Amino acid sequence: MIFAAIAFAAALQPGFISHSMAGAAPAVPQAVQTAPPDRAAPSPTPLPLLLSGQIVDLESGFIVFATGDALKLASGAAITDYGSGAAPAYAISPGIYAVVTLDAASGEIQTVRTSRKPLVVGTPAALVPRRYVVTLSSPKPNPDLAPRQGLHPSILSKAVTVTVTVAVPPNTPFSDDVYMATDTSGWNAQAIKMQRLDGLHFQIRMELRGGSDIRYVFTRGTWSTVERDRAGLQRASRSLFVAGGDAQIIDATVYRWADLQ
Amino acid sequence: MKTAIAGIALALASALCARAEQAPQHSSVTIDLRAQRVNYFSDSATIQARGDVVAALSNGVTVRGDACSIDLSLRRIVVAGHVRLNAPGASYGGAAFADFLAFRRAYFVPLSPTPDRWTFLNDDYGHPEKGREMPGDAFFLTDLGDARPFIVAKEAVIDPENYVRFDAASFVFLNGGIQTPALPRYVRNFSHNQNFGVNSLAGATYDIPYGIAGSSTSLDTAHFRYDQQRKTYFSFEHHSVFGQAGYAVFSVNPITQPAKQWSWLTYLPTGTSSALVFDAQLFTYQYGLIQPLSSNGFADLRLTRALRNSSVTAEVSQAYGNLLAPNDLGYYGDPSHSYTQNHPTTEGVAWSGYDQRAGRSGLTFRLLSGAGHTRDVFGVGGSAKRDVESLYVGAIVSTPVYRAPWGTGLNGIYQGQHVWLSYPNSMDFQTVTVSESKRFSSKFALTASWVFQSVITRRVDETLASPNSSTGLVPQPASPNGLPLLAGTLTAFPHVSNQALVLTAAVAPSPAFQFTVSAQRNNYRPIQQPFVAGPPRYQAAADIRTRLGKTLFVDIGRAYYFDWAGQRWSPAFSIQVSEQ
Repeated sequence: MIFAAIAFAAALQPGFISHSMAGAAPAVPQAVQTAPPDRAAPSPTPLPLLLSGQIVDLESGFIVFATGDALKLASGAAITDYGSGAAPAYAISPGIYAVVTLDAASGEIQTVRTSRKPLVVGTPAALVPRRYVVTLSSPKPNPDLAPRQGLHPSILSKAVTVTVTVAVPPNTPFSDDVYMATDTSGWNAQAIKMQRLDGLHFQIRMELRGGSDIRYVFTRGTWSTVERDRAGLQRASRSLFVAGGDAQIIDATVYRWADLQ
Repeated sequence: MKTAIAGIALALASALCARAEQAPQHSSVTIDLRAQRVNYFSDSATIQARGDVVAALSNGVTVRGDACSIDLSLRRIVVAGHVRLNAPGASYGGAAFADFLAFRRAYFVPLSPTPDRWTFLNDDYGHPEKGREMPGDAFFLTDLGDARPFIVAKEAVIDPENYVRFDAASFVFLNGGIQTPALPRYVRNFSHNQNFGVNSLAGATYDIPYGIAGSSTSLDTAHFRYDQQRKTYFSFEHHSVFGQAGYAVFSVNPITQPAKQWSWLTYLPTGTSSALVFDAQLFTYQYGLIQPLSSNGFADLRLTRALRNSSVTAEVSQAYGNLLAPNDLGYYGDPSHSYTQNHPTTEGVAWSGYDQRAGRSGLTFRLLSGAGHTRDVFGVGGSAKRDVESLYVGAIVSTPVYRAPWGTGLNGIYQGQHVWLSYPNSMDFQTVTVSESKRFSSKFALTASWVFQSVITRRVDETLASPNSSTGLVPQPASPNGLPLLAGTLTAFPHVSNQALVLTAAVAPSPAFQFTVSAQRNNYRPIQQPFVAGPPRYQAAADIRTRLGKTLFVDIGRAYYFDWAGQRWSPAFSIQVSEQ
């Protein structure tokens, strides 16, 4: 079925049309003619693969990416700076980014071009065909891959617009401001100032990185005016986990303040 | 009564100690990290180390490598480059090691004789799961771009859930422009436990905290502070937390000046639906820690219990006018520290209903009531009476926000309270607020409000001095004569009221910049005179909050009084720098 789909896709390629039209009758397209290199069957002259990603080690004839994938380094492989093309003026240390050329025939890395900034070139290292990854053990599935994937906060993480709206109790003094105290601010009672929407609601719109996991409570600017539960007892801190997507909306209610009955 | 309060305090202290002993041992792993350079990036909650990295985990694992990155948000540690992993009964060499501490999973890429992918489950380093699939970013070293570290050191102790401790920390300011020499031990607390934020120090214009000791359950902080009255001074504060809900906070403020305030705040859950609160403050005038020239304070104990649709609070407090033994002179040191004897005791019970809906009207209401008793052998509130009983009832009624013409939202709130005193006397407090808001966009909102407040007292001279809140006699904020401050003014007439018309515009073009401006007209009755009664008739105020750095904000505000008794501007700008 997959091959059929590939064959159909290949039939739409302009090159294929001109080739097939050379004969008198329409030919059945061959999958090997146009399939992507990493899905194709070995051919006499496979194309080299361009891979990029963060590297964590260059040792014992292997280059290891942050994915944990180790690839064989060809003897005499050239290591240059991606920008200048010259030998890098900085140490090749963990965390550096690299674009590597993988010779599909030998399965070895022929060139390594490094950069201190992320490179969006070629195929991400995470998608390297598994047959090129050097590993002693056979791959095993991980039935309980518990850690969240793809939400690692970094400069690559996408900013998410988070809108928090809180309803305050009616006895909130009208001239008071409402704030969010967060664990990321050391529980500063005035960490995030909210804007009044109307007589009973305040709102704040923030840009937070995907993967951020924040605990917070609402205050009126001091810790003696922190929110309480309905009975006036201390409530557990609220939790805000920024998942993916473009926007996230949170509606909250404060029932009581610590200093007001 | 002194003995009783002291006994309660002792019993509470014993309970706290017992609770601390019973608390389960914290199971989180701490990391002792050493390297040629250890950088702490507070903005991104990340620690990175470079050069001869040694990370010793408290579970017996030691990892050496070229670089290390610890993400405190995700509780992950990655060590990469020429890695040597030593664990109880096992030793391996490889390319990278990652421990996802929150999940008790560690990942490792050995290189000899051939690269492989190993997973260690539940700290079992003797039996790796070979070939097991790993998370796609298992060994990703957090990319911080061109960010500058906040702290540079060579060693750090890290509890990824709670704190990081540096023994010789250099602080970096102004984007790398200034780096301090190595300073004494510094503890940075970032615990999820909100009780580390409880503040027992009085306000100051500037406050720079410096954590000097700490653990997952405690934090000691020195504060360098400034305010206009005391100028610069140092204070000390200690936090202890018990589980997620209990805490005890102690402070001395200031510690470097003779007029000291000693504070003790305690919150102790006594079940899923009740809690005990004990607050005490001691005010002394003493040089260093020698015999004080004056000493007074109060202790307050509250027990709150949730009921079905309401809650009840029982409270007892004792005010100590003078804690020094009387002497023949009648003063201590000099006549400005005279002996004053005053021992009011107040007990009370307060009941508060939950917000309820009034049928299908959309209105919500809350009912309040309480009773109290105040005793002072020298006379309550300056009168000849030694015992005064009080009783109060109150209600809060609120409308929802109704949609009004021109896309505005209209809302009204009524708060009323009636108090009976056994003098006899009675008091009525009322506040009516009507507000209309219009949100023009997500960045601009306008609010117009009318606030009417009134206090009616049968006899304004027969009120209570220093009562506590459970008796219903001190509407917030507290005032010296037991009657509420109305529009910031002490209530001095049998019937006072204030009508305030306020127009507020809030502009927030981005999360990094907020601007609020308001215009207010006050009409205070019976008389509105500068320095006698009532607030300024007209006033305008503005407040700007803007970003100073990635996590630092400054808030600047000032009011204009339109020549109120020659006063044009409020005495000073209010400036506050805070961390987000």
